[in-house]
Amino acid sequence: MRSSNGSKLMNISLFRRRQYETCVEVTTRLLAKSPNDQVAWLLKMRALTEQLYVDETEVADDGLAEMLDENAFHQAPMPGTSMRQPTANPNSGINGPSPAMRPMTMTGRPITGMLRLNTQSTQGGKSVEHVLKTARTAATARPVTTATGRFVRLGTASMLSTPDGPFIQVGRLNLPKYAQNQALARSLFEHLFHHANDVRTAQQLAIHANEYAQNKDWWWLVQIGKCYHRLDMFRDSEKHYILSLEVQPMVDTYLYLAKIYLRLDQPLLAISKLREGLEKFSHEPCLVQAIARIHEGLNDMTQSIDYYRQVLKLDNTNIEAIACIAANHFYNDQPEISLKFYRRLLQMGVTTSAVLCNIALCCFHAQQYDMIVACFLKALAVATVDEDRAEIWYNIGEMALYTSDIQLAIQCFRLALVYNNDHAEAYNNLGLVEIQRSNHEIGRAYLQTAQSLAPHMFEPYYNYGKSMYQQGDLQSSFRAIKSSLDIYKKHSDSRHIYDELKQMFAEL
Amino acid sequence: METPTNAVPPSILKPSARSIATSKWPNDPSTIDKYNWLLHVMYGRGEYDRIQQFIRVQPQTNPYMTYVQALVNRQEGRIAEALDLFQKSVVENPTLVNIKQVAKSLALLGRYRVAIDAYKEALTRTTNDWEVFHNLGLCYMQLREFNEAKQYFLQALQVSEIQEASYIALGKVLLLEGERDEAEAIFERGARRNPESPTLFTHIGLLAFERAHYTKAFECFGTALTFCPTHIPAIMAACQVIQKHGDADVALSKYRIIYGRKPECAQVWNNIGMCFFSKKKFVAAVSCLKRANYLAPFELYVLYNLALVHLYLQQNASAAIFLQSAIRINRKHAPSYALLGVALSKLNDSDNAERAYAYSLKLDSADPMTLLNYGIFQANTGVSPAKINSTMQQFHRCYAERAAAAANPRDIDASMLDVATKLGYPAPPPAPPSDLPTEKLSFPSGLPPPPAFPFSTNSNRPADDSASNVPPPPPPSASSTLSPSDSTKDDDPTKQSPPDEPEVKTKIYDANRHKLRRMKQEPT
Repeated sequence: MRSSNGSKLMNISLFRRRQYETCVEVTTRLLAKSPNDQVAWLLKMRALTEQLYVDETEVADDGLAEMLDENAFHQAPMPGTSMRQPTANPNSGINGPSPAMRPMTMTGRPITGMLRLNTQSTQGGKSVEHVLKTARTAATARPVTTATGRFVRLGTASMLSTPDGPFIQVGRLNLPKYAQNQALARSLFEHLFHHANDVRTAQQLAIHANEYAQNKDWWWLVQIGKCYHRLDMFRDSEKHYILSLEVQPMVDTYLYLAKIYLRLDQPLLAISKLREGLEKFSHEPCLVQAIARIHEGLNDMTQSIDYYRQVLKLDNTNIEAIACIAANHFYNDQPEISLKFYRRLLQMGVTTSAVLCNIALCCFHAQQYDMIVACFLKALAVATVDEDRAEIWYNIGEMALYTSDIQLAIQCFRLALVYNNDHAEAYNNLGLVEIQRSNHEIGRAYLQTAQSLAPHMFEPYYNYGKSMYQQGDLQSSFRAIKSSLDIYKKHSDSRHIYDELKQMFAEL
Repeated sequence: METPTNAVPPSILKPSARSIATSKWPNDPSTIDKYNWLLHVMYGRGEYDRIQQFIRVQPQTNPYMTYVQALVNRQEGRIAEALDLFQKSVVENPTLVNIKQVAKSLALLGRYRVAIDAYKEALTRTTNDWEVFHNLGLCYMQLREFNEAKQYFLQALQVSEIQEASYIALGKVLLLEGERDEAEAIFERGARRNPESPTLFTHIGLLAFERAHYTKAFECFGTALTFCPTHIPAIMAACQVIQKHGDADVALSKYRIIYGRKPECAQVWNNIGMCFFSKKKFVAAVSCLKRANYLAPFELYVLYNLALVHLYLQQNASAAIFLQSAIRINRKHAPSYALLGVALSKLNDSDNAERAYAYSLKLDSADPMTLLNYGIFQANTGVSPAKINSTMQQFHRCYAERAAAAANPRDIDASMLDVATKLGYPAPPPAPPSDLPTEKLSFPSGLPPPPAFPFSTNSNRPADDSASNVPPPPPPSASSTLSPSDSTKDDDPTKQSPPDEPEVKTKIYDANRHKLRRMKQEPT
């Protein structure tokens, strides 16, 4: 008896120390001995869940399928009120930085300071057609479905952990019974939701528990909302979140609610809900951060940076805020300030290749030449993925271009292409360099490759159009320039050539 | 021919009902050509989709339809298809108009030789068509056969005296051949016939600007702007003149107009940066120039100006690096080498500085500023006085030549003479004032004379090299010095920036490649 008690305590300690795998092993042994040991069962369940627990507030991969859904409130929203429509696209916004100064992501948004879910791959908000057209590169613009790899993995995880079938036979659970036991029910729910990935059963359990609690328990209301959310039933989900907020305002709930509104494409409503949350939790960085992200998505950089600054006031080690502010300063021609922020990141121990590479870039633009090479070398040493190496070599090539060392630039771009053969920017620059050296044919071939790899960039089109214009093939030039203007409507140089071509065509 | 005619009452402009009307006599010419007026009106109004639709539903086509369809195709940028259709109409009906259209389409596709043949074919049918001559000229110009081109342009002008386009093209050909005087004469002639053409006046102004006739240039730009207040090349050029006069504030306000229309133009940013520099707002200047460099990394003058500003800010290493880049772009750019000499001498690398000066003088031995800086450098490094003397002699000679050549006293910077005097080599030629030196050169005897601070301007012709050589600001480590005279030249006038070649076509390929620098992002 004593030994059993002792091992239980040890077990709890293991769980507290987050050594889940050992914890699972020990509890499995205990359960083999006495199958009705509720403590061991609960512990094992929680340990399994914790291994796979994800923060639901950070999860939302919009898939290709979402382009087809009709949940968006307006099909033709007003400018600045939607993430979907091209109206929220920098070309028409006043606040957005010009694409000539700040590069774009595949979906037509200015590049952010930090790679996170939904910055690269989402909402870009063009038509389905556009999304389907987006080039298939190794890092494609958008996952095909929402049921991303992660969920699938979660689903099978339960099978893997125990060779003789899942730990809990979901079908045989007596849900109403468990629902009455609050202590067990919550853990069981999380297990079903995260580990077994059986949203429907989890939802049933939550509904039973909620009935038992008579709508008075905010936690169960939120869980029901989460289930609906996962099942893409946004209006039901919204209802439950709001009910839950009436019972007990919680930060997470506000974040979930904002997520729902974003999926319904009502970013302004999401912001107002988050503000409401801020009134109750006035020092909550997560809420401010969420607002900042939404503003960023709407291309309202000034607002976004304001909010990120607020985040930093509340939590001065927030990596995302630091990175975004740094990137913004960098693209606003203030590399020195940006350098300070990146240095801060480095001091905090974020030594990724990206940070080092950015520091090198800032050093270059702030003319602190002694640091550049060291930083790039370090970045290359730290880089783990080929894509990272490609980016670093690309940036080195860029430096070489600015010091007009053409040979070095060409070598660097080639290296970038070795690591990532879909690097459209490198192709574009290679093309330009070749044209500069008056290898027009090769240069144009590179530019065309860049066009096909990155239909979101106007530069290859413009460069191609201009090259063709100089050569005199006005038809190809006209086509390319038109595409360039489609992507970036206010590009004055493209517009100039376009007008001239138009005039030539119109003359009799 | 397709000017919009709005006189037709709108009620009969609805083709939908009539278009389907098939006639009883399909080959009756009156029915075939019945709707030509409608096509004409629709083309004039730019309703290209409707034209296409209309033609598609017609039971048979007539030559005019083919012609209009071809025009529509060309308008929408499908020149190859347009060419096919025009060729079809030539086969059906080889008139002058059709042949000209075929030729024009060929020219637009860049097949100039074939286009020339087609135009020559057209010439067999007429001898006094201005357009044929003009376009022939253009084709030859593209093929860089300037003599032929000139001939045809002149013929075109004989046929029709008033065509602005021919004057401009002819002037450009002459400019390409380097005959400025003739080009100017042509532009002037054109301007007399077309007194309201902003382009012609801008060209005249630019030519005048190059010869440093600033008043005339400014007048021309003014005329151009009266007729077209938003003619960007004219504004740019006018700003240039204003800047040259040292009126940076006015120039800045003008640049704001251009910025609104061309926010990504490196030249504008460069000029704005130099405006700020002459206003002594260095941070703004550097940041504008940096942006210009970001937008156009291969622009020599942006790099040169950046180096200049950094030299002024005592950031010599940065300046040297920018100069290196500039030199890589153009290995024959003498002022860059001269400036590199200054930067290197400040970095205490006197061997290489010496070499840079020597190379610069080899490339352009008549630049007084380079000579002056070289003299100062020699004085600083303690070269034998004889050598310094010969350098300074040469300086005074070149300076005198330059001063004689310059029409406007502003063009040449008299402060260079002051510096030379301070160095101990006052201007000799007129009356060697043998005994001036007693006015103690501002350098305390022990210290080496302060290095000069060259401010060269850089317009791309040596002509306006009016450098304002700011006399020595504090010598590197000399405690004493004072700013004896450095203040004077504050107005480093006219750091001219690359004379914004307003014809964008000739602009070097400054495209946007670089903007794609992507900051990498870090995954959490």
